[in-house]
Amino acid sequence: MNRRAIEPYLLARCLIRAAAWIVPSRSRADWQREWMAELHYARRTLREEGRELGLGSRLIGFALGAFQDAAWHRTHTWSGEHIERTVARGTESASFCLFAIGMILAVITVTSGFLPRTRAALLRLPYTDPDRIATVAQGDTTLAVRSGIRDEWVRWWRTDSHLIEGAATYFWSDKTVDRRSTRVATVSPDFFSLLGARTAEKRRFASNSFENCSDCVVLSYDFWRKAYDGKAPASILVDGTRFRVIAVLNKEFWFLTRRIGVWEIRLDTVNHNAKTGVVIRLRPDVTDAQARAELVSIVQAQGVNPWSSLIVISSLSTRVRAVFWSFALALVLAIGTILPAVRVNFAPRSTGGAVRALFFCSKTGLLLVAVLLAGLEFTRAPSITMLGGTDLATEPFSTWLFLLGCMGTLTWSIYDQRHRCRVCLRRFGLAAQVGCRGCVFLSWAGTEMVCLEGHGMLRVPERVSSWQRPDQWMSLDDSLVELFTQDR
Amino acid sequence: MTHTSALVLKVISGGCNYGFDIMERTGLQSGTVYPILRRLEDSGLILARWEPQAAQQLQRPQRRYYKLTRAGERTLVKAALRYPLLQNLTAGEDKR
Repeated sequence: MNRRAIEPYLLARCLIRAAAWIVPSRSRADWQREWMAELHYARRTLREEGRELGLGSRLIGFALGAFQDAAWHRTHTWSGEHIERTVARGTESASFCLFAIGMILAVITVTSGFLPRTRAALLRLPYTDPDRIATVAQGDTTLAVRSGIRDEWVRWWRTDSHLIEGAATYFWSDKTVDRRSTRVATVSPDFFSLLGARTAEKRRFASNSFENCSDCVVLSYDFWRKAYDGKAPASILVDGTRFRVIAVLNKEFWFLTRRIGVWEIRLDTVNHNAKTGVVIRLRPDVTDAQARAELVSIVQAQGVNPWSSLIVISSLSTRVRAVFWSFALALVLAIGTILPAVRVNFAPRSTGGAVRALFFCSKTGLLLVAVLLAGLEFTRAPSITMLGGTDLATEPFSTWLFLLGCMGTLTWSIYDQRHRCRVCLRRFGLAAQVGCRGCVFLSWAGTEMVCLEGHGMLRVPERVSSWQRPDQWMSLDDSLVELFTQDR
Repeated sequence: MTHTSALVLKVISGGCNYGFDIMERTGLQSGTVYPILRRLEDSGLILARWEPQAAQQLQRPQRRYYKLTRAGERTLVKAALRYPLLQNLTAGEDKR
């Protein structure tokens, strides 16, 4: 036999075999048999008729047609009903459930711009020794209402305190910067050096960086990129006043809120009536309580009455992560509300029990993560007020949102778990109402659902009574499996 | 009924009863002929059957043969009216 003819023939056979994978499995064997036979006769006919020239390419051309035929077979079976059934079967599986939740997480991640708020809350704050940074506000923890600190108090603390390394002031408001409305913070000259902030060129601010700099501003990295396309202007116009731009902050830097675009430096001119936010750096190993006691005593030593001298010191790291405690509280409340109503059937020795438990934990865990991320990224849950306190308008709302999200997640997760096959974890199908609603004792009304793989059926009574189990699972033996395989 | 389908019906009625033969007579590509055969079979215009003898007996692969059904014959008559040139296109082949 001509060797040159064999190779294209074998290649053609391989092509037909490859195309056969496109054909639905139920007709694949017959389809492949016909094409192989046709290929055989095509080669024989061509050779018998002396059409050896170009035989190889003709055979391969012939075999390539198998892909069109296979595609026809595949698309022909895609009737609306078939597609519906295939999709329905796909969506019943446990892996689809996890995939769908994964997609929700992916959507949250992408639409939020890769979780900036979550990263800010979880990652180390962009300051030197961030655990020693705290905000100070006037008020008391029991009142949950805070107000700013007087300028003169800050001056007293700077000179008299032994437990803090420094105190810087800040406040912010919305202003127009080069015809663009943005949040502008006004900070004392030692603000950046106290925090240990760095510029975009990684240069650290020194305590004398802003000496004789009465018209200086520093730009936030994001604002610089968005408003000026990454080209630092020599000066900018803030509410009609021109300021010199002397630095752009490091990309990671933020303080209480990410919305501040411009940082205006205010040289220390003490205004006795003005109240501002205050950020302090504690000395190493000094606790918030120790610092608070000392700062209060300093203020009282200046003649301020005890009630007015009450202050609150909030560690910035703790404050930023407070939203997670809010979520944890909501989760505990949700578990406490829902679990008592759930009758958990522990069956540790049953086959696949560990897999079912793993699936339940994965599904619930991923959904809870989705609730947390959505809460962090799309609500103002992680927002901190200018004075480092709780936003009374948003925090209760976000806590409720977390609570409802957790309760919804747990409720759905338990419901979904109950309506899945105990063997293959597919969602049940073919729900049927059974029994007679009037015949309470003899024929208990309920819904029966069947695993479409034929593993068993679940009977859920219409009304749960104290003497009856809420759900009854009945395993089907192997003799019935064939009934279900015909439907695939 | 497309012209190509009518052509395939015509050659089957003329005695070509398997895929490669139909390809040879009509000059159509395998990727065209076989899907047409599936469609015609699905519509009940042709009937497919495997060669009755086993492959081992034949010492060659079994063939799948196609023949017109009654519905196929009636459809071919109508197609011939719609495509008069069909008769001329395959006339020579019919005589063969």
